[in-house]
Amino acid sequence: KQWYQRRVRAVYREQSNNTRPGSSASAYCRETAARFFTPGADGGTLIANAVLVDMENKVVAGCLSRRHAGVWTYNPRCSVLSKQGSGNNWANGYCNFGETKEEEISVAVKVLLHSLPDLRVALLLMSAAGGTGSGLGCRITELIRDIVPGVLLVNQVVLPFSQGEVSVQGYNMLLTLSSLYQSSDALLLSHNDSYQTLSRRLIPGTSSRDCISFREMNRLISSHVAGVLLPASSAKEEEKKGRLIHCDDIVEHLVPHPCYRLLTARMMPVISEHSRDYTNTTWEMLGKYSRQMLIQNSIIDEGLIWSIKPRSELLTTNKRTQNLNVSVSNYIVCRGSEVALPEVEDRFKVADLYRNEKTKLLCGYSAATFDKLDKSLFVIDNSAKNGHFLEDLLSDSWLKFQANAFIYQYEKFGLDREWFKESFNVIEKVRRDYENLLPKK
Amino acid sequence: LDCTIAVEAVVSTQSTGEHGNCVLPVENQALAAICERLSTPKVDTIRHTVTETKEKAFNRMNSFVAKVIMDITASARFDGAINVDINEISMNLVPFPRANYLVPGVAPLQSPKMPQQRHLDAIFSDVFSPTHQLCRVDLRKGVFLSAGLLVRGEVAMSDVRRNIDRLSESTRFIYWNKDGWKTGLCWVASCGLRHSVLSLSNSTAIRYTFEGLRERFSRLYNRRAHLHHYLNVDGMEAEQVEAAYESLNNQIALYSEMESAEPLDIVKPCVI
Repeated sequence: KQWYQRRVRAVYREQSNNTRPGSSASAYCRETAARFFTPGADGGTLIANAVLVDMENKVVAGCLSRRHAGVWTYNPRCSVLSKQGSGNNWANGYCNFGETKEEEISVAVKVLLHSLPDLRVALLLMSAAGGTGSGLGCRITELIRDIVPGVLLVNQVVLPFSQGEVSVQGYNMLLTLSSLYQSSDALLLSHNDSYQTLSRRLIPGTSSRDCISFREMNRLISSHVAGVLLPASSAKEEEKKGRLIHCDDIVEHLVPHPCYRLLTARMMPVISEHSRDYTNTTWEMLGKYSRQMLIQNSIIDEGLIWSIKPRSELLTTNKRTQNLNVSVSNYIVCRGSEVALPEVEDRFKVADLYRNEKTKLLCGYSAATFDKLDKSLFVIDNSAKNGHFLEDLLSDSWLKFQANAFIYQYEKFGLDREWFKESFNVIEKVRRDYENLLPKK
Repeated sequence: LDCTIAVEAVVSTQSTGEHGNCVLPVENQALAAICERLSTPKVDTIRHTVTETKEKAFNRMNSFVAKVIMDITASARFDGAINVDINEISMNLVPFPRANYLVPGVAPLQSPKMPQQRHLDAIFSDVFSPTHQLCRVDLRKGVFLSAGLLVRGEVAMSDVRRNIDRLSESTRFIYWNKDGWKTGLCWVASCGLRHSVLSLSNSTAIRYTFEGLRERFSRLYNRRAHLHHYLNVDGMEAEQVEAAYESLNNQIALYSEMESAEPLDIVKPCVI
């Protein structure tokens, strides 16, 4: 609600950091600008290729008013506001606002599409727990699918704190994920719990008691997203070095099969600005840590259990199955100086890490640094443990559903119990599909 | 006076309950008790004391009701880490259309001119105690269907979470909403206070209040006492009073049922 829109701004800020004039990699800057912005009428300022939608006006109004040091800005014609809010009700967002605001949103989207004839991928940033981000976000996804059927859709979805921000968040998450599984191509999931823990690393001297604002968490989420989508070149030996990897290449690689669409983004290193001068990172270290994070399905480089590793790397002869994460597909990007790509690549090429031992890895690299980090490594994976959270989600929501609790709130806007049952079915199948990726014990 | 109030209370309660998305019940006796605990005795001639204190007493009682309204609308008027509007209150705290009674609790309770002394954690504990409810309900006697906490002032999210964890240990929630807390956090405190909490408890314990009301009503209604005052008014029919009584019975039954609700055997959805 209030905060998800701030991430839109943050994603673009990350990208704008790389488009400042005077930056050494000018081809990189041009590609970034072309990928995410359109030149403004005045020739100087860039206009973000974005549509902002919210059923409350404070956040979007704030976004529109900022000038971003004259480098870029949002297009006010590509924004849709209201003053009512969705009251945490998915059905209100999807059915009610989905209908009343459809025309206005359609117009705003078409204004944007007019300047993007070669659009290949659309990214939608939304939350799953509230009413607007979740419900209306799903409706907008379907709308864009109708308007431009050939474009790949990626939804970056923020999942709420497991301890509960909203009583009905379980229902809203269920309805969101089920809807998107039918209308979107890929879902990049961000769990608030994980990002809160990770954010604490950025602020020195913070103890676990202290409150971390959504602002810090948003900044991290946008770093993950931006780091994956910013330009990178293919490092395949057989291809000409320097072939640009486009966003649709990434999506097609990560989602080879429609049953598996859940993605997680991870990044190394995560250090505060103060600590950067004192930290020396090597590609070996980045590769080692980020692979372990993938194996354990963590986005944090702490608490890693190094004894969990691929069978081929185990020292003992007792090769019992370990609790390894198994990927359908991975994409890694190295950004920064002296990229020793084969070294990092080999770490991720281990057959054990992939379903049926068929390695499906895409690697990209870029000499341009990300967010002033000398070296940074991004991993985005479609792996078995991405579906793990669905188990608790299903059981908690099912208890409520059986008691018929809160259902009338959704029925008011046109949903019925059948819709819920269908959503349970869809998500149970996803959960089962992901669980079956893991080797049987 | 007391007797006819029972009749009015039953009819208006059920009417409000059926048409309102949520109802915040407030009892004069609860307000009066709070004021009495807070007031200091005045030394004056007897007649002067009675008039002055009584008038001021009603003002003070109303001020607590006003505070509830101010706290509920604070998110709409000011900024905060977690804004909660009235739609969200209804959405998160009212699981069934007729389980829509949210008992308001206020903390800290103190005379306006006293400096705030209660520690934040004590405020969170107080706000669920019987002496801080604006309706005479002992929440410990029932099961929570949901609970709202609207916090105002300089309070960190971690403080709120810590207190929720603590309160959860001694609070019984219904099995399908074990984590049924809805929190709002508004940076701007109430006038004169550093921080304050408004609780909105949807608890089955309210049925005891309804049962008391039903008893007082029945004593009159069985003899049809005082009923003609109402039926002489145009538009008021005997059936309406009957219907309200029936509705009250249903309400009590609904809350009683939920108090003893147990999970069914099937816990996981099956893929059909």
